[in-house]
Amino acid sequence: MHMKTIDIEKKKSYVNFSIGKENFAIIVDDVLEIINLDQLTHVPNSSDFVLGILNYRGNIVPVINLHKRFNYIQHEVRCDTVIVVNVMNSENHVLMGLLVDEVTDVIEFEYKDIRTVPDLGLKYNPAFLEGFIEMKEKFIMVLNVNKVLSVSELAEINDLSIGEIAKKIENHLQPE
Amino acid sequence: MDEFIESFINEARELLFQLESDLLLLENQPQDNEVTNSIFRIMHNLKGAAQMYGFDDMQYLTHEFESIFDRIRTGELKVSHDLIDDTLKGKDILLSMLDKDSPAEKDEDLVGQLKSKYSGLIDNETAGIEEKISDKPSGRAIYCILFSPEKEIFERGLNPDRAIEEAMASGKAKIMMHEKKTSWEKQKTKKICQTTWEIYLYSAFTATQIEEIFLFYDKEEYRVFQIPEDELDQNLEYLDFFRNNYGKGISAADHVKECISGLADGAEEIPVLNAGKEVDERQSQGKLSHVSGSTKEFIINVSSQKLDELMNLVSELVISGASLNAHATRLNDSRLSTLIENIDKLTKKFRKNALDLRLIPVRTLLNKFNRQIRDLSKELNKEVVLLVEGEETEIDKTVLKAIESPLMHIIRNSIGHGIEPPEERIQKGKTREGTLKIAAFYSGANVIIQIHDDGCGINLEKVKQRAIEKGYISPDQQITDQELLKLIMEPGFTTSENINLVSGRGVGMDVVRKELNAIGGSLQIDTEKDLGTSMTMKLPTTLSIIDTLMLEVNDLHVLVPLLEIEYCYKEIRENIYERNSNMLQYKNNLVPFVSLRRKFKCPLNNHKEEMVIIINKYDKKYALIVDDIIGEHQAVIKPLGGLFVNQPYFSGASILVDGNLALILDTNYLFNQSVLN
Repeated sequence: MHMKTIDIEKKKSYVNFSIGKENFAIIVDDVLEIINLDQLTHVPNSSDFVLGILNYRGNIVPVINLHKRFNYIQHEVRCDTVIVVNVMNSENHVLMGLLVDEVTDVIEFEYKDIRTVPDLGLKYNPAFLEGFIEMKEKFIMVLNVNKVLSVSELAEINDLSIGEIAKKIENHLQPE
Repeated sequence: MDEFIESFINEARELLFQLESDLLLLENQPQDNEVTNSIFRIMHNLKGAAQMYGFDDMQYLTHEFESIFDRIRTGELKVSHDLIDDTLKGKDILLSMLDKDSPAEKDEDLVGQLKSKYSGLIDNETAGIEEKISDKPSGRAIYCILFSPEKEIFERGLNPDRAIEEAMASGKAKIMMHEKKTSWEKQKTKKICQTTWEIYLYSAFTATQIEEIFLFYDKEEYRVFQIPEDELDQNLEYLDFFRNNYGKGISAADHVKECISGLADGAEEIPVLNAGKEVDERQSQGKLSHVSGSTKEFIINVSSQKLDELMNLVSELVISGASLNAHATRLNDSRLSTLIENIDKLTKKFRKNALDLRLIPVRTLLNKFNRQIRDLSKELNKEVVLLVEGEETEIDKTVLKAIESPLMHIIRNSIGHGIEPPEERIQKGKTREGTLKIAAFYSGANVIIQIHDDGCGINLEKVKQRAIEKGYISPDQQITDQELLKLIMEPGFTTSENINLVSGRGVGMDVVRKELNAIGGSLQIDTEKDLGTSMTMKLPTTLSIIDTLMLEVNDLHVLVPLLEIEYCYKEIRENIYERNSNMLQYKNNLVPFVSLRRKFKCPLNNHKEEMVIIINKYDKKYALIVDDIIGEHQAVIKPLGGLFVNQPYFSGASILVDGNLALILDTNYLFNQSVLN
């Protein structure tokens, strides 16, 4: 896995957004662009988290429904904001889109301000989080994009035998 | 360092590839000095590079060959079929040596064999040099070298300083520089060479050895004269040369005399015995990149990833262009429209160009077969002449790679079963040598490769017998020749025992067809008794762009490769779903069908009619039920990515003109999943 060195005393910018009633932050280094979702192609029979694919500057980018990922119940809110992020996946960069309710602002804080989340009572895997920070009397969860969007986990290939995976990949392989 | 080794291995592979075609050329034109030189240079370059990168075995073997070809160069040794055979064998061993993971067997045998076979001609290093030295009593001579590299020498990756240093190191030297306009140092920074060197050398080298120092330079760029010490005043060639070039004012002979005076003194400083070896080592640092003179074209290796990135950018440009166009139409600005039209044209050219980058000439593949054809015909005691047409026809690298083994199958069959032995051919009134012709040419968006032999043709009677035995046809069934030939490609029609039974065309024709089908190609066979057989491969020029038909299923755009579609028609709902068996009637037959709406868990529509698409791939026939046909679409295929490994219905996606996406259906998977289960 690729390791980044982090200067814990240096202020970094984070994109602050909301999903449901919760606030989240992603470090701007991982964010490519925040776009409006207007053209989404649904892929039949794909995983629940995957809303579909979109054409982002000539790249096919899957859009992830974070409500589903975090086991939130999604109310009928019309959300069309997608944060395009760069995910490290076993040495490869993969582009993914995160569907969020609203991007509120960009905030700055130091890495050392991030506090550990007690793993009690979380609806989702605590490994998704770097931790949380307290700002303007709000708690903001700092996301670890690489964990939330781990390709192998999202594709649910853990449930399959090695043989099945190989077969699927073979079926899926593009000619060079 | 690994990176360098890898690049060395790649370059060495290319050199060996070149070596093979040079050797085959040499076999046909044994007198061709150009080819001999090229082979010598390849061996020499390989030796040097092998030494640099620690491929000792390789260095050892190439050294032997280098010596042999040096003898051929000087006329001491004649080119023989045996020699070509041995060198080809050597080439194979060299190739295997490049594979560092699986070290090749020690080649002591071959080296020993080479030594004994061409003995007297190749001895060990020292002996060879001693022999040469004994030719000249003193072992040393004075040379005058005039060296004036062309202006653009730096662009060829050469530095004249190197050659000068090397010359200086080979003996005692006196050097004069004739700089034009600016100083040599300045010329070097400007990368323009306008200097002529006049070098006087007292050395133990032979003239050939000295010429080797300038191996990488053209013949016009240097002259080496041996100066006979006592006959300076005579009107010799080199003096003529001087008179023409520099001899105004002073006497040329005096000038030379002055230059060489004192050179021959203190001769004991000059190494004698090891001189040959030393120069070899020095030269071995010569650059691999400067290969033989025959390929003038400059080739750059680019990783396919970079090409893909370029393709991405181009498609993005195409899409942006399309939306710009749409916007301009709304604005109704004529000047803007003209500009956009221009950009549109450029974009199209750009796109075509980017696609062309993936294409390589079929020559690269056909060259490989040269060798195999030669070996095979020898092995089978047949005489075969290979004719190649249209070898510059370009095709996608992936396609070319995919047809290598089918093509080999076909060629083997042609030589093995098609072309008759010489005696039989003469009896039939044909020429002694059989002709195998491979022609490649474009046909629309396809490339056709045709393999024709003038052999005995396929015995259709025997094919028919076999087909009856195997139960493909009944004895009294009327069947055309074309249909019979199609049977040959049936899986299971050929088993190993009937390769001999059916005179010819046995080996795995079904495999050939399958492999061609897999890349969207097809095969047609034509044959006539005693006139020969033609195999015609029809191939797509590229795999990254395919012609598809766009279908609509509940707002979703689905693409199916056009090649896989046999027929489309509208059908009334009731006629489709009347049976419970998921079969529908098509041309007096029942074929299974898959409703994409059902498959994709979409709400069922209430249309009265549905569109039926008959898919025919690898002879698996089934029907797709979709809402509608939208039209043809040239799809640039993009992979969906790792998130979708779980749903293999789609093999990729393609960006449409409006920026939307369409999914490419994997018809094969759908068939296995939905019809077989």
